[in-house]
Amino acid sequence: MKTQLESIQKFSHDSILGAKTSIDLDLVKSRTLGKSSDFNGLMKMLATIPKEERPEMGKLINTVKNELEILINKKQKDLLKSERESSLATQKIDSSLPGVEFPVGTKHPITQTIERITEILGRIGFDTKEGTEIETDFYNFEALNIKEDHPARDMHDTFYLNTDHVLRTHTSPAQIHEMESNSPPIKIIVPGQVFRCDSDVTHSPVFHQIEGLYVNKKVSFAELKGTLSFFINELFGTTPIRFRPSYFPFTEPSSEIDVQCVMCQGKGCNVCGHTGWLEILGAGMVNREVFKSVGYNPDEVQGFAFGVGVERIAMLMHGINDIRLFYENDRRFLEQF
Amino acid sequence: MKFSLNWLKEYVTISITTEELVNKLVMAGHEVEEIIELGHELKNVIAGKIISIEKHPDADKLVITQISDGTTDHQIVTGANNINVGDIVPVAIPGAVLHKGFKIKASKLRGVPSNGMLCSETELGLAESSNGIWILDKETPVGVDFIAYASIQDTILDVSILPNRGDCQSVYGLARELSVVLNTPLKKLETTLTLTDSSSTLSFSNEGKEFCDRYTGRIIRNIKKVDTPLKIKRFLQGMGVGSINMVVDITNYVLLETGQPLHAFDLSHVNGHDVSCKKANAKEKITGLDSKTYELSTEDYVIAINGKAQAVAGLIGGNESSVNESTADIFLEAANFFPVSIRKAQQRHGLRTESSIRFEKGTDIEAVERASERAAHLYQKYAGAVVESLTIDYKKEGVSSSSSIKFAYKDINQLIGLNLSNQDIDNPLIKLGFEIENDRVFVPSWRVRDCIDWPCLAEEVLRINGFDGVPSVLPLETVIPSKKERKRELRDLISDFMISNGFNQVVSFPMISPKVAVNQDLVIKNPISLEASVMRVDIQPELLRITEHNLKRQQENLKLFEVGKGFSLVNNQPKDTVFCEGICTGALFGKSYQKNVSKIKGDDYFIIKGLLLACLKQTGFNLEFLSEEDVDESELIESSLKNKGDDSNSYIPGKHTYLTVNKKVIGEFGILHPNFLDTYDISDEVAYFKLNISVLAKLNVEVATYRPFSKFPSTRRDIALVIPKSLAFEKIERFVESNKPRTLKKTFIFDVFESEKIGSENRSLGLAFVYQNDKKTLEDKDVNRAHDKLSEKLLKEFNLSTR
Ligand SMILES: [Zn+2]
Repeated sequence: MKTQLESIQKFSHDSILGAKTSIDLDLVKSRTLGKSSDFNGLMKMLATIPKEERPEMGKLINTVKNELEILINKKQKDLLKSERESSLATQKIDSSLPGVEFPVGTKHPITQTIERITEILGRIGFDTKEGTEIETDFYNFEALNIKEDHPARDMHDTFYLNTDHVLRTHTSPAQIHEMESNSPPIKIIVPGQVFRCDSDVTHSPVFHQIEGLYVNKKVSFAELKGTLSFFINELFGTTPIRFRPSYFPFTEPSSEIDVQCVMCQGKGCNVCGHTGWLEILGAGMVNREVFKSVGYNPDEVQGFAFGVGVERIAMLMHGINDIRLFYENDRRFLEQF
Repeated sequence: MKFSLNWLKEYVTISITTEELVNKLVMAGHEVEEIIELGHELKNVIAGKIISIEKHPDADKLVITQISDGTTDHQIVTGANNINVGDIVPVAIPGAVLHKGFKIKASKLRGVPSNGMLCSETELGLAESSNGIWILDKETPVGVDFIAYASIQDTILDVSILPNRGDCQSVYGLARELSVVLNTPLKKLETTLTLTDSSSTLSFSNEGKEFCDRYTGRIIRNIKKVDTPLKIKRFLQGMGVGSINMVVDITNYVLLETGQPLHAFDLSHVNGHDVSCKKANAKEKITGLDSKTYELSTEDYVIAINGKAQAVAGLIGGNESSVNESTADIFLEAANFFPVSIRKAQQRHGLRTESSIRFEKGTDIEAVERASERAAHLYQKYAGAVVESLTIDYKKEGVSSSSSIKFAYKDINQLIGLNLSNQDIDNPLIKLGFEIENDRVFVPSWRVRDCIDWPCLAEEVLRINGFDGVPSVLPLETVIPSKKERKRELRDLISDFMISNGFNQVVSFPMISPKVAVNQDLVIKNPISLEASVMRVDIQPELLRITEHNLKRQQENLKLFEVGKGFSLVNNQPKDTVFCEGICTGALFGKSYQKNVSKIKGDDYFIIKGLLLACLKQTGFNLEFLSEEDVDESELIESSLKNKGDDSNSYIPGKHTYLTVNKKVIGEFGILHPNFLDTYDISDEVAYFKLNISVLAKLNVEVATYRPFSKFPSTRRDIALVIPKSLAFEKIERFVESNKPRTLKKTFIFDVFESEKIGSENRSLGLAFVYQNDKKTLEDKDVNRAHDKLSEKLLKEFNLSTR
């Protein structure tokens, strides 16, 4: 019987190792360990040998059986693994084919520029507020010391509505609203759309401005200069800038601020009208008349205000040469930002 | 305004380059917009005298001339026929360069040697066309370098004069600025005169006291018929004013020079009559110097002679009393008028003249008499005129030419942020003509309208001393920013969501065409074009226009959104509302070879519905949907979703739903009706949505409270219902919600289909029910009991069958 066991062990061992597929192995398994297997036969034969030999023989059979089971399991794992590998190998893709194009959304360059500017000024304490596009003559002009028939009104090609309102020609009315509803200190910026009835390659009837206002007990032009220098340096890097005198009815002294042309580095080109400079800001100390119109005592408060043209800056930053591109909203344009 | 550099040099010495000069002007607040070089290419043109003219042997139309330059003779063949022996003419000698770079060399004309060319004004770039050779004044020195002699070479600076600097709208005014900026003396205007007593007495009455502060009239006789001096012609031309005749040229010259408008009447129309400055009669007509007829109103001020308007004061002279070619005696008016009235008159008549643009910014009252004298001086100097003393010398009572401002040095220093000495403040002011007495500054007569309050003095100090010395200081005062406005916060959150989900943000104009406007409550009275003349109530028209623009350019599968404003009129007051609106066309993922991906439609109703739910959830809101039938119209109006003139036919029937949060309508979405899209020439299917951010901003977002979730496994049971198409799923959903057992945690649809087998009036709905207990693992029998009970109720309620 022992020899019989040995031969079964040898035979089973060989069949297990010889199985080529997991299906073959399943067959081998049932032949070796199943109901009609040789092992079962041996177990039945156990009853026929002398009683005292039975425990030892039984133990021996079980040991062999267990060994074979372990062998089968191991072989099965190996076979499954290699079968999976070969099956995966047949499903191979061309991994160089393009991926699914997830739609990529974009933020409009005007919005991006406004966010960039409000972020910079936010860092030095300017709070962003919102204004209204439809204004009365009082807020757009009168309170800003642009009285009726002031020649400066010519600089504002105003759209008039069928009501007694105008489309604001600048974001400066926001100064008046803010000062009317709050008392100093005030440190705000107001981005928004403004309107002028004037249109060509460099002018659009609708464009965006950011108004800035700082009002406190004592405010100097030096602080205006410091604030705007910081702002421009953050926006354009350390580009040369220049302050030059200008005129706005609502500020005195007034100034316009130029940055060295980013296109030609000051050598002069079409973009800068061959001056080497680009005007990007208008600013000045709040005119005392403006304080009077909001009920402040001009001897007790001072302030500075400034206005930035958003399109101008966006055009410079991104090398955009036609302002109309912003409003055409061609996707091929939008997708570039 | 254009300035001749040669002319400026008459009053100030300019020894720096044009580039340096431009920079100085810009840094003093006078922006130079253009620099025009005149005649700079010209070379080798002299004044020559014609000694003889002979016929050309071989050409009828040519003549052979001998020209003297004072020392040698030059033979020149020319086709000119307006020349005579003895004439002095400009001659281009070999080596000369004329206008547009035309080079002259010695040559032969029909076999006869010709050493140069006789020139017309055109060849020297001084006129567009001319009638023959330019015959010069007999006094012109023969042989002189004509380019220099006639001041042909000039540099014209186009300077943008600021609205408050009317005093710089003249050559002398800008020269005055330059003398300060360049720190050089300013020459005085030559006004020496030999005066004759006034020969007549003219009465003047000022009936426009609020309008006319000063009026002078002077009689000038025997103005000889002479050519306007070359230099004056050149100066006028350089500044864009054509030469007419001596009488007119001088008034223009002095106007440009001093900024004081002058008007010359033909004396015969004035002499012996009454002159008055008065309001025009209603509908009174006057024909101006431009031969146009102006209808006046009682708003207009005129200069009347014997009561009849002969000039619209400050704006334009009348044709009837104006000077003509034969005029030798004139009545020269110099006056000061009220700027605001002039400005209004300009607007009324749509006319801006060299005079009115100066009056509207305010002229120097002191310049009135000076300009009159200056013109008289020139008439006398160049045309031997007899100049009488002022016949009319009116000055309104109480009119003062000076004003003063109280100031303190420390205030100026504080405002600038500097610590200048008194002298550093005084110096620039004094140079500019201000006078300082203790704590008062007296403003020069030409700056009284501009300098009113003391910060103006700080401005002048900064302007002249420059901004470079001012330190850069960051304001250290901290003003704690207020909380970000909720509207802006929501706008940013929603924009970010849309962008993350593949939408391109657009920015459009709030003005639209009446063709696409739902109403015309807010209309622009003076639009640039009709296409942009009505204020939009929402962004939709512009979004669709942009969609059309892109589709026409093969930009398909669009996903666009804008956050912007809509405008409406509420109780006659404009109101604005912030919307986020978007559109989706074509495939959600764009073109793809991956079939499972390319099948997803972006213009699908359920895609947009899901997108909006996710968007609002991410923003903190629990979005619910409300059908067209269930919505209340007054709520739509309140939420600015329906406006006057709106019709709701813009959606495909049944593919339109309103959005609510906390039972408040906050938006809508749907698939746009093809008929509606015809307006835009869009044939693609377009899904559209609109969120009212202004309304959303007013709604509360509750801080989330933690709810424990079950640790035990859940069990799912499915039902396949056959439901009539008329039964909306939301009804089933609502029924389940109100009848659900405690253990039912979630219900969802896993399948929807239609087929012939279940009947075309029906739809099959696969519903999954998920059961779970918080405290233990549910046993099958408990799940079955609860589920069977619920399904039985459901089937009975709606009389449904299962499949
Ligand atoms: Zn440049």
